[in-house]
Amino acid sequence: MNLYVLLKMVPDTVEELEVAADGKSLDSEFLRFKLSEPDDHALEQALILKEKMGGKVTVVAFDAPEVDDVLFTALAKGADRAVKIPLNQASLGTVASAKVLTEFFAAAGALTSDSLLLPGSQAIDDLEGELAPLLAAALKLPYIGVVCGVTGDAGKVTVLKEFAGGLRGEFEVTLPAVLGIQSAEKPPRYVPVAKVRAVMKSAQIEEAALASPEQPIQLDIERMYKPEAAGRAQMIEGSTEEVADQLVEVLAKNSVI
Amino acid sequence: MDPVKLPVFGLPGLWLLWLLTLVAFGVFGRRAWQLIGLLRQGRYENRFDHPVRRVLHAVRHVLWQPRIFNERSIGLPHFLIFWGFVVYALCFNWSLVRGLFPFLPVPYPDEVNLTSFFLEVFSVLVLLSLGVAIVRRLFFAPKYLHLSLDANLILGLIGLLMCSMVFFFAFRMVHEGGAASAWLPFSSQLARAFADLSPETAGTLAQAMWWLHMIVVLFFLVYLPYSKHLHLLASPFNVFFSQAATRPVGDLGVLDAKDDLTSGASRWQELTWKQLLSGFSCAECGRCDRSCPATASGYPLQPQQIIQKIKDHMVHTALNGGNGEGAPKLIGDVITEAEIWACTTCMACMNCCAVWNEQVPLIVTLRRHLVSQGEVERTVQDMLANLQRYGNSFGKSDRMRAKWTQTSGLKIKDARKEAVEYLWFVGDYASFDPRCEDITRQTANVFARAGVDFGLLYEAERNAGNDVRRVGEEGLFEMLRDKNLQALGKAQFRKIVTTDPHTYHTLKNEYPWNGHRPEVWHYTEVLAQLLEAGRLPLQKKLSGRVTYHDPCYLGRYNGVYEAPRRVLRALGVELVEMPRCRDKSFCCGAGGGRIWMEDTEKIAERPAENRIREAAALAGVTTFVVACPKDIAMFRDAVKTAGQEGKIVVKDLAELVAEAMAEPRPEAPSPKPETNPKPESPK
Repeated sequence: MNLYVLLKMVPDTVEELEVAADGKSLDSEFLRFKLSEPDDHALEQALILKEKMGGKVTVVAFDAPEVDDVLFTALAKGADRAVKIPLNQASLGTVASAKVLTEFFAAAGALTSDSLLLPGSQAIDDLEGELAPLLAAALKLPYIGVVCGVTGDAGKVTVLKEFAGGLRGEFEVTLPAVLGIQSAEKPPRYVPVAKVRAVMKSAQIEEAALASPEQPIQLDIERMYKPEAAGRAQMIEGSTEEVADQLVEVLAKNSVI
Repeated sequence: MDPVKLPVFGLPGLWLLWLLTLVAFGVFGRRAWQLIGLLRQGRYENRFDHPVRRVLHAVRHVLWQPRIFNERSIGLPHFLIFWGFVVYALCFNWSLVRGLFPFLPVPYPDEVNLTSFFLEVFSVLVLLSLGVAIVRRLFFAPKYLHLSLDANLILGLIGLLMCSMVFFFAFRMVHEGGAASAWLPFSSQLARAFADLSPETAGTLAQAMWWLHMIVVLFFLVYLPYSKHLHLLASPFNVFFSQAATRPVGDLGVLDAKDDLTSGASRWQELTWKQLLSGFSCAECGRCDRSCPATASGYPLQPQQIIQKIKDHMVHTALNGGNGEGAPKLIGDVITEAEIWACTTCMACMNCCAVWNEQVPLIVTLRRHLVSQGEVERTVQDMLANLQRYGNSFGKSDRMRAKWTQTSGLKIKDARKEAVEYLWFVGDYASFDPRCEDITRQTANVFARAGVDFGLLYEAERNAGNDVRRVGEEGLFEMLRDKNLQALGKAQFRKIVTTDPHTYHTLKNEYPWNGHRPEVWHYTEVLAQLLEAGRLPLQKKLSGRVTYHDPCYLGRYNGVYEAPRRVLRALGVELVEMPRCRDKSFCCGAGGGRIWMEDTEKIAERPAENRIREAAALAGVTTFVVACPKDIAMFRDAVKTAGQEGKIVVKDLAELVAEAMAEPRPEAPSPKPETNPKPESPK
């Protein structure tokens, strides 16, 4: 099986996010990037498929801070190839990213009859999960999103998809295909630091020379702001009657009754 | 009378002795060579450093055996059996050489008054000790004692040896005319009972006793390396080569290793030769099991079993042909993962091991293998990922590390920007845990009011790596260590003070300071020093009865027992010791990364609950004093789960000092147990 995992770096929300002076972007001073969690699961799912079915896992990422560490970690976990597209992910946006990735996969030899593309189902800056369907549409490949388990077979895979309300559906998909991974069947594995360090010394990250789309394909951001504080809660204490009286008073004061 | 000159069953005695000796030494030598061959298959490590210190250590612990006496009932008997054995072994060899080479111009040892006296005295002492051992085994056998055939056989053989010696003396006395000798007080008495025997019969019996003695010794020699009594040959070497002779307690480093040891061991051949020697040295006394908090709580770990299982596995696979298809795997089959993860690295086992085995580093070696395979439980994995990314186990931004200072009412120096006397290495729990933050602020205020010139590394501080290293993630430990050393290298300070004993141990003993190690102190030591210098402005005497819990990494690992006690006494409280105190302290269960793990097994009682019950049983004690942030977390939780709320309160030593330094601090009331937040699950 020829497995491609698309890795994306997203802002780490453990760090405090600040809106930059222009009011339209994040302040980059305190911004740190980390691997998008569904992508980490996509990698785990790919590694599980490789262990069961054999084949090769290639991880692909755009350039972003700390992305090299993430690519080396993927190699240490068991990926065979790491490819970096030297375009700044933050300035691309989802639509342009899909376009560049389409070019990457359209290149001769990239897609084979047993190829499976595994992007994360969504990311904190792509909550609609647009990347995977855009890519699938452009490559004219079948697509299923919100996937939480994949089992392989010759030329096809059986896919478990989650629906709202706790429903699950099972699909059979012929390869090549694109699957937006929500979660792997097992939590992502741990790889010790020593192993990552050893890989850093021995392995190489390949670079894929691809051109940036001439026109930026981005939505215009008019304003970026932190959620505004909602009304404050007020605790009413006392006996049942006192509470009732105070409640009536509060409701009357706020013109509810 | 020379027993060798007489024929035995028609064979010339000399020939028979030569035959028996060659066979016995041949079998013994072959087995010894096999066992040494096994050790040589282990990985290399240098245990030949500081030979003088090693010799002194070995002399003390082999000849004097202070650790044997940590269990009274068997201490003196073992000591006597040991020395009896030494005297007998020397005399046996003397006797054997004299017998094999009759032309030597020396008498037999039993023909010399002084040695015969020693032989006699020791045979009686050993027989008495055996009596104790037999009565203990038959009527008062402690639950833990293995009543194995092996042990009983050996005791029987020892008894036979002693009896044959005493009866030999008695029969010879009768043979030689029955004159009592002051050198042989006991057999002189015994000889009177056989006074009726004819000299010839007595002579034959004496000769028979001599041969019986020699044959039993030679049988012993053959049997020894096949039994647990191998310990009496292996343990002196084990003590000589023990790490404690030259290095800090529980050191996880390996000197001059030729292999990469960061991924641990999955096969016995991947353990070092010294780790393999442990199994041959173990006498199966069970001291380690009895001291182990994991064993006591019903976790599947028994430190002695780890040592024994490795030995049995090694002998079985390498010598007894158990290496074929389906041979058990060291990790998974022989030793389960649950056993490996149950260890709190509290050092109780190693602290009482009479042959100085090193259970904790061995367990960490096995953990390293599991980590290298990514076989780490989910919660631990999350912690390791957090530490890798943020430098703390709480998964918080490193910029939040010194957030507690904002509400401390102090302006605390940044040691990266200005010179300080003490660099305060605060540690994760004291910095981030909401249960500890207030104590950390109080500690800062105590330091400030005592005029201590101190500063922090602020966001440059990383977890020191103690738990990470003991979980078996050596690479991450090195990463954290290097980042800390880099930050410390840029800071200006003369000494380091830490809140956390785990951090204290690691900074003091596990960081390579390239010969420029600064003084590292625990805050309780600094408080004791301030007290002695008259710099602690104590305003009032506290009252009440308190008990103090010795943290493992402060006590057993670093021998700091007095400093916190001196401070407590100066505060005016009455210190009542728990039965398990100082180096017998009972671990809270948090060390070695255990604080990050969830209990999946059914256990009898968590160690911290057991400890709280111990403290609560002390008359009038209402305060449980600790000197470790993890203890605050563990014991405040345990007070609730053990149903001791309202009866006993867990307090940090710094809180009591702050209280005694008066000046009311309304913004930081001392925490009451009922207002403690729920213990944070390690998610």
